[in-house]
Amino acid sequence: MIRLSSHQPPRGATLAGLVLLFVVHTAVRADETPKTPDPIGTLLQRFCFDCHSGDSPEGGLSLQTLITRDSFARDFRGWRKVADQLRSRRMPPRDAAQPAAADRKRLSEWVQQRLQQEVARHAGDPGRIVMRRLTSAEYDYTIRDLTGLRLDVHRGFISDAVGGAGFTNSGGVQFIQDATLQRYLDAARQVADHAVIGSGPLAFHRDPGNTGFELSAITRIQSIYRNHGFRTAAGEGGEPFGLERYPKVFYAAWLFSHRNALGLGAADYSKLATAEGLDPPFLKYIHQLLQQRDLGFPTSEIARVWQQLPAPPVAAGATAQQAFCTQIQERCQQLAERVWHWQNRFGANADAKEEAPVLRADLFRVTRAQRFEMNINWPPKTTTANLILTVESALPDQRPDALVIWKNPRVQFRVADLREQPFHPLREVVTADGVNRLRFGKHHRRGKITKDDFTTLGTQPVHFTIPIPKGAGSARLLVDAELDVDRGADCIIRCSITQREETDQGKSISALLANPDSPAFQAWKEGVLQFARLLPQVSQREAAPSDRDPIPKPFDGTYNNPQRNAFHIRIKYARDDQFLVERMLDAATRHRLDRAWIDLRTSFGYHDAWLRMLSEVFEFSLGDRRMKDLNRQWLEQLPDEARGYLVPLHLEYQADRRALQSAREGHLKDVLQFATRAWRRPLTQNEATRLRSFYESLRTQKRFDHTAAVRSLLTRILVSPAFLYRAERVTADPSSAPLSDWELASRLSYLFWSSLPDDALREDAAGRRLQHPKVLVRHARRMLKDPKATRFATEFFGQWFGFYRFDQYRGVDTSRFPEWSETIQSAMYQEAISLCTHIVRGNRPPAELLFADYTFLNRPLASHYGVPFPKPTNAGPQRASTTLLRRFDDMHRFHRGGLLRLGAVLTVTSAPLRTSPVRRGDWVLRQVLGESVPPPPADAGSIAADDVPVDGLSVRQRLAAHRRDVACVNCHARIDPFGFALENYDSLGRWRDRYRDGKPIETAGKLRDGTSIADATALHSYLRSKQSQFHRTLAAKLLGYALGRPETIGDTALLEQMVTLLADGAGLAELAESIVTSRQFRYHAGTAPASR
Amino acid sequence: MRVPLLLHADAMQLPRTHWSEALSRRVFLRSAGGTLALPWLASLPQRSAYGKRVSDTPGKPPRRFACVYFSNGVEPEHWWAKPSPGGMQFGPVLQPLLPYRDDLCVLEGLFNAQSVANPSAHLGRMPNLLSGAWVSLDQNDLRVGRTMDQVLAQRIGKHTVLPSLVLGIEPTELRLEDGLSMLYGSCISWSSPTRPTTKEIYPSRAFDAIVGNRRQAGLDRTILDQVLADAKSLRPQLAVRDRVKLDEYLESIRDIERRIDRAANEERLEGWRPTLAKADMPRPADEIPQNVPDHMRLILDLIVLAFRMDRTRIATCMLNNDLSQMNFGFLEGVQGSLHLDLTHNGRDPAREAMYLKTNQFHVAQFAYLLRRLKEIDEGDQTLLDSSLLLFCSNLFDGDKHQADRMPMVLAGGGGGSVTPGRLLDYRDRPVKDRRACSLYLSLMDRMGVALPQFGDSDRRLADL
Repeated sequence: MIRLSSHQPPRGATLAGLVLLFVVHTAVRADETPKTPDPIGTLLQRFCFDCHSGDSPEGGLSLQTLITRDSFARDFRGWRKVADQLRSRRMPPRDAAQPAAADRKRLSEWVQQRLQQEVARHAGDPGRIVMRRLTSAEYDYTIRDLTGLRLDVHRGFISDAVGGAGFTNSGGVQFIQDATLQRYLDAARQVADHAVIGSGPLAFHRDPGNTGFELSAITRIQSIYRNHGFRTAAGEGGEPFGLERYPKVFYAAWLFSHRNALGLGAADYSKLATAEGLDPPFLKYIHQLLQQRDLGFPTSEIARVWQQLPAPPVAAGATAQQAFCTQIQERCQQLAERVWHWQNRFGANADAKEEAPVLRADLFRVTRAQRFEMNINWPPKTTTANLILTVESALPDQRPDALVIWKNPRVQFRVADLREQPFHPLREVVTADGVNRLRFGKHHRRGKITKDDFTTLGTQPVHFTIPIPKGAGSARLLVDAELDVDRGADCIIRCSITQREETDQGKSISALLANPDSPAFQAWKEGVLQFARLLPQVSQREAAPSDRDPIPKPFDGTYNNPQRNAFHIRIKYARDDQFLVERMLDAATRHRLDRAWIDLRTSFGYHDAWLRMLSEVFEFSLGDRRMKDLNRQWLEQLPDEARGYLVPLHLEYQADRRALQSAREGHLKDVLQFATRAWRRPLTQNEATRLRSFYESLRTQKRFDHTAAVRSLLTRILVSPAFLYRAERVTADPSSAPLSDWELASRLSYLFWSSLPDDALREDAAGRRLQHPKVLVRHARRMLKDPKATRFATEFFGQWFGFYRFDQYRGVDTSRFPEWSETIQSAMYQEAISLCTHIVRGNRPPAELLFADYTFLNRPLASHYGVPFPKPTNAGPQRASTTLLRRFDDMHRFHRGGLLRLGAVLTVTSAPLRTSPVRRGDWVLRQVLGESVPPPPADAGSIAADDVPVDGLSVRQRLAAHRRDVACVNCHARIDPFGFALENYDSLGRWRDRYRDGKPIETAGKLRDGTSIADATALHSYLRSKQSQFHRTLAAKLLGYALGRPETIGDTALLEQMVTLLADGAGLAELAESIVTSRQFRYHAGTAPASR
Repeated sequence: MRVPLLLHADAMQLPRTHWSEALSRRVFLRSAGGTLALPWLASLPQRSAYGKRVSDTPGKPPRRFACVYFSNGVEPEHWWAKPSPGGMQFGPVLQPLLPYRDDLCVLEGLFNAQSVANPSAHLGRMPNLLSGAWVSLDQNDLRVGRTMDQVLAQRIGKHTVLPSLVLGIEPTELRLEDGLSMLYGSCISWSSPTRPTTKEIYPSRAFDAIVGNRRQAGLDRTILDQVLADAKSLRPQLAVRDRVKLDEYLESIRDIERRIDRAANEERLEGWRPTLAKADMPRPADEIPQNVPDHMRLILDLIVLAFRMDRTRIATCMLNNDLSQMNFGFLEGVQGSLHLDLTHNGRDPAREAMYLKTNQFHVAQFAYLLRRLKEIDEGDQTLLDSSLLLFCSNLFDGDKHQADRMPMVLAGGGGGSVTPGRLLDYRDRPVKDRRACSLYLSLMDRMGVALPQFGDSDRRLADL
């Protein structure tokens, strides 16, 4: 039996070239199409109908049907085959009757001519593009761009089908049914649940619902704090941030003072602050503060040092000036360090180690006597604990003659079984040397002390050592230090005991001692508090107090105290950011911060929690009252102290409610704006009215609150056909008409980004500028360079080459290949996407897809392929190298690089247990060379699922047997050699030299035209020679993807133009240009009957 | 920086689709109607890639999984179980479970290696309870691992309205503890390595999610009416061929509307039907109950409700957060908060006694859940028989932050896949046989999700 034409499909490029040859002959006008001359029909009947007619014509091609239907436009694929077969003399078959040479010529010319006429007549026809619905990927990207969130709500969708030119974006195969719509409804509701509807404009947050609202508020607050404020520490393990602001602001203030000398001319606070990454109000504040004359100590010291910073040298060169500025920056750094140092010294009082040093009058407790309670720990196998006792002055430049009496110093050792141990006088546990140094029992002056006490005079440090008794795990040192009344009345001193050993905790303990009644201390305290106010070390506290931060009054902030715990659980947040708000933030940021706080407080029962806790603290009866029930009368009958807290709280509550109320109108406007983005066009007046009245009816008839109504409105917008479908409106012109600017904007954005138009596109659409091809080209170029073009690489190339959603691929048998993991799978997927993205965004020649000698790997994938992966040069985070891919060049050495060597491609074209030369060969033939291969006949038989020879035959031998079957040879002779050339890659894409049973890999094969293909390298050389065929495939695929429909005869000229461009070295940008400026892309077919 | 022994595989988050749906026959046929099917569609493995699949039997009740977590460990001397001829004997902590000793297995000696290795005594050993992953100690990179309940939710959660229920009692805390976010201590369910599943502590909201809000159906209708009008006004502007597409949309809307209208007498095609079609409890009040025992009871009732109505088959519940500040004053003779006052009791006998009471209280909550499930008859077995219920804490001796032996009880018959009434003591086994992740692999198998490895284990738990 001899099979015919469809087994010998035309090669696109050759055919197209052929078609061009005949363009000159097609002078016949469209309306003068000649009727089929009888001789043609007769010829066909005589030489072709035997096989190509009836119900099951050979090759699926019935010439009888073609000639009867007489529509070259619709049947152009069939007629092209006919032309090709006639030209190459493959038909009629050799053993059949042959037409005379003249008849063959006549027949051939006639077919060519008719084809040419149709090509010319339909050139640029938009073709029938069925209205497209968003694919599930497009839906996801669109939601991502609308909300800024990756919500993955599309996961529940029913998967897309493939149609048109082989892509999911073809309207013809997109069906919808109630289950689909139900999922759209659910997804829309989920998206709406992420809306943040508070006191500010409508926004979206990654966590949904009420919890999301709360988290959105705290996230906004924390980000403002972090970006504008500074904080030395935030409780146990807290991280400092923003500490560079002081050196910068001192420097910027100096720049401002000398702006004329420095040639900065008109630089103002704003400009200088911005240049230094500071908030302008902060610079203005600090600059003015540093000029102030009546500052107390120690602020005065800071101002003095800053004022003494030298002026820049006159008429210095640029380099000299730069060097001078660097010096000033260094001095500003030192000055800032002084600020921090003093803050720490003044702030850190006994046992306040883990608090961020914030000095407040109420926290500032200095006494003449202080008990020290210190934990002494030591590393294992330590025999002694070494301690240093120091007395220093808190006033700089002063050496106090202070006498400190250290009473009853005693030590308790702790043992492992936790039995209570006695206290020993320190005198008895220190070394003999220590006894001498501490002078136990000897008063420095004439006073009396016991034999266990000692005194210190002046600021000398004293070292002493405690030998550690056997079995002791840690120790506790207790001592009462007291400043002598006479000697040191005007001193302010810091006493500290420090352990020299490095231990986890309790390294140092210190306290300020002074006579609180002395005028010297009063003046000093005032100065210090002023300093803490004017140059604080922490511009705000954490919104959610960390474990060691104080909680607000009137609650007891002792660690792990029930009130403190209740505060953390019930009230949760405390605002303490006065300095930041007043001195640092500009009005707009302050406004955002205030709104975030309003949202945070109103996101849960914050005020009610306060109310309840206050009622517990002050023991007033609350009954069922909640914040909303309170009134002035009731507040007035409360005890004064409770009222002092409740009244401002109540005012805040009311103000918050009002703020929410007044934001509502804004939300409605935001929702309408959201609709114009989601629907990808301006709303009509009627639509806007309908959306508003839907909201109103929910509020009034369904009694929804504002939030629920806005969420419902958002849901409704996202289930509308205007969102789900890319509708293009029909126009009056019956044949075709230009698309509107908005429709063009969507065509562009869904082509390159699989998503809605961005602001730049929207602007040009609104300005009606997209009708100009130049503007379209500018956008196309911009969009392909954008990071969002990765989506184009994923969607277009992924679907074309078959690695689409490879991360979900489940076709590997993991009991055979336990080394297969999600990590490798994911890396292979990323490798494929990275290669295509690189070609797209870099506008590389598309042939590089096949022939690239580079690829993208991470460590696991490199190790999977056996490619050496360099050790990380710097100690970056471990996971960076395991997940992120980077480019590796010169990869041919390792048999990698290009599409054919991608792990993802090699894996999807394998069977679960073995490679499949047939599938790989088929892939090369179809996807790379663009040839069509008929499906195998039903009785084709199958090959063993495993590569273990079952009946002594390997896969290759079985295929060889298969090819001896005349029914199979036509296709397999075309397919198999390509597949065998890739046999060195196993079913997980790894290079191998032998099969599992130890037999060597045989890769050589011969194509039917006699070309030998020895191995993968030879296959690449062969494909290089067929580059134009790959270009033709690319052009057709890209156009099909752009239009969501299969190729028509009207596309012939455009495709030819694209192939020519590619031959001249064009990249995807140039191809995209020819598509977006084409008539097909810019026009829409009208209502007239199909023109093909 | 310590390096995790085993990195979780899904560090990269990429969009996921339901692969199984992509391969459904119907979709496959539809694709064939287009010009090309995706090239690997034909390459489906004939059997599960991971060996024998254990899944629900048609006509039988589905299997359910729940994990009830309590924080801060137990009083070590008082948590024990001994085999004896008449059934297991229990130490004081486990006493409340005595009536159910034939319905459960006590698991001794399982642990997560990454917890033991983690220097952060609480938060480095908690959020990985159900994943066995390393807990990142970098403040700016919250990262643990996807937990087994969420793996189940992502694989089999599509069978029910809710993929999983993630419940708790104490709110998610945002403050820092030990330099780490308390988010770690507030979440045992993680849907990705970097993202905890939002925990619901409001009984009313959980109820709405399970039962559905009556207003919701009404709202759906209203929304559908609106978009139906959108479609009708769009129709005349479309080409004839596009109207066909829009008509599919219109028809879909009408179908849903019809379905909403007859929602009351909804029928299922499967052989098995849930024993409850409508909620048998009233909708809880909007506020969180003031009293902790009431709150816990309500949350556990909601798990029972969701299982009975088959709204989900996977649930987790945190009775408290790690480092809980829950005040146990509601228990007779107990004062102070769980963490510092009672767990770290300094071996003060009075406070140790209080700590024991909190342990027993936690166990009693689980016993209550077992009681409820055992009362429900689902044909020839009880709901407890078809469930797998894990009760556990991440620490054994809470005072010492002991993570190398987690207190664990596995209750229920798992639809005949577990023989309860046993003590399974792994303490003398080699380390490789003591991994909690082996238990998770075994549990996931029984839920119909067979993975080759999970967390730090690639073997099933012996003897389960």
